[in-house]
Amino acid sequence: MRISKTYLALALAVSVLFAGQAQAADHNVTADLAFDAALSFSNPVNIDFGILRSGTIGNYTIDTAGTRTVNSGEAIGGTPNAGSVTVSGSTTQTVHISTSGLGVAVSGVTLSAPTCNYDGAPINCAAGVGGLAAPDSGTTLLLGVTAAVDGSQNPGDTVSPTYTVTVVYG
Amino acid sequence: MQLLFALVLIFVCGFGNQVWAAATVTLTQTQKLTFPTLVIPSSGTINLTISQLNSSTSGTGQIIAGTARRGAYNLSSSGGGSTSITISISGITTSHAGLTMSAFRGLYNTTTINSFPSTTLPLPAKRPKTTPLYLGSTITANSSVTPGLHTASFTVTIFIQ
Repeated sequence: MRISKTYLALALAVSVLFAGQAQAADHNVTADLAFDAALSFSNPVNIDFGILRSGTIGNYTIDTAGTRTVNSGEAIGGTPNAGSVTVSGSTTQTVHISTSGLGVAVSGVTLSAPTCNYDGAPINCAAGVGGLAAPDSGTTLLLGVTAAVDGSQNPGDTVSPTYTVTVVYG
Repeated sequence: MQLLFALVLIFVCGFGNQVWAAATVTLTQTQKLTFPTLVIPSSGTINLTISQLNSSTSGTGQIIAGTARRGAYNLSSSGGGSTSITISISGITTSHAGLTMSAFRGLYNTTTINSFPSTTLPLPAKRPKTTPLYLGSTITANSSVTPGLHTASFTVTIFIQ
C-alpha cells in the first residue's frame, strides 16, 4: 500500500501536537499569621523615702502602698511614696515581671528586697513571675524596696540608686 | 485506506502518548505554615522568615508567643508515562494590606529549593507512598497591622511532564 506523503505529513504533525502534553494541578493553601500590640510604659513615678537623718546608719523600707518603715536609723520628714508605672499592651497575652540590678551600693545606699503590686495584687517580682494578667489599655504596677544606708551621707545630699524592673510577654 | 492509516498513526503516536502521560499528582497538607505571634511595629516594618529546612526563624520581628512551623505536604503520584514535575507558587494574598508574604523556599524530599518555580523534580512516590514537600516563607508587616489572627493564601501548582 502506498501512503500519500500528504497523509503521512498530516499524521506526524498531529501526533507531535498531541504527544508529550504536560498536565498541571493547582492546590490552594493557607498560612496563619498572628500579631499583637507591643508593651509600653507610661506615667513613671520614682520611689521616694522622704528625708532621712544624715550621718546615721539605717535601714528603711517603702512598701507598695507607699508606707515607710524605719527598721533602723531615723526618718526626719518628707513625703515618702511607692514607685509606679502604667503598663499597656495586649488584651490577651500575659506578662512576666522581674527585677534585677539591686545590691549595688551607690553613695553608701544599697537597695534590696524589691516588692511589687500588679493589677491590685502583690506579686513576687524579686523571683520573677509570669502568667500575669494582660495589660490591655493600662495596668498599674506599684513598686517598693528596702534601702540600707551606711551613714556616710551629708546634710542636703540626695542619693538616687536604681534597679531594673523588666516586663515582657510570657 | 490512506486516510485510515493516517488516523491510526495519529492515535498511536499522539493519543498513545497521552495514555502514558496520564500520571496525576496529589498534594495533602499535613502541617499548615504557621508564624508565631509577632509584635506590631510602632513604625517602619518588621519581617520574619521560617526556614523550610527545620522551622527555625530569623528576622527583625519580635516573637511574643507561639511556635513557628514550616508548611508540610505529602505528594503522591498515580498513573505513568511522566518523568518529572515542576512546582511553582503563585497567587499570594494576605488578609491585611499591611502584610506581605514572599520568598518561598522549599525542601522536596532531599532537594533544597531556593526559589520557585523549581523544574525537573522527580515524580513523587506512587500511592500509597508519599514524598514530602516542606515550605518556608518570609512575612513583612508594617505598623498598620491590627492585633489578632491573620491569614495568607497561595497556590501551589504542580506541572507534570
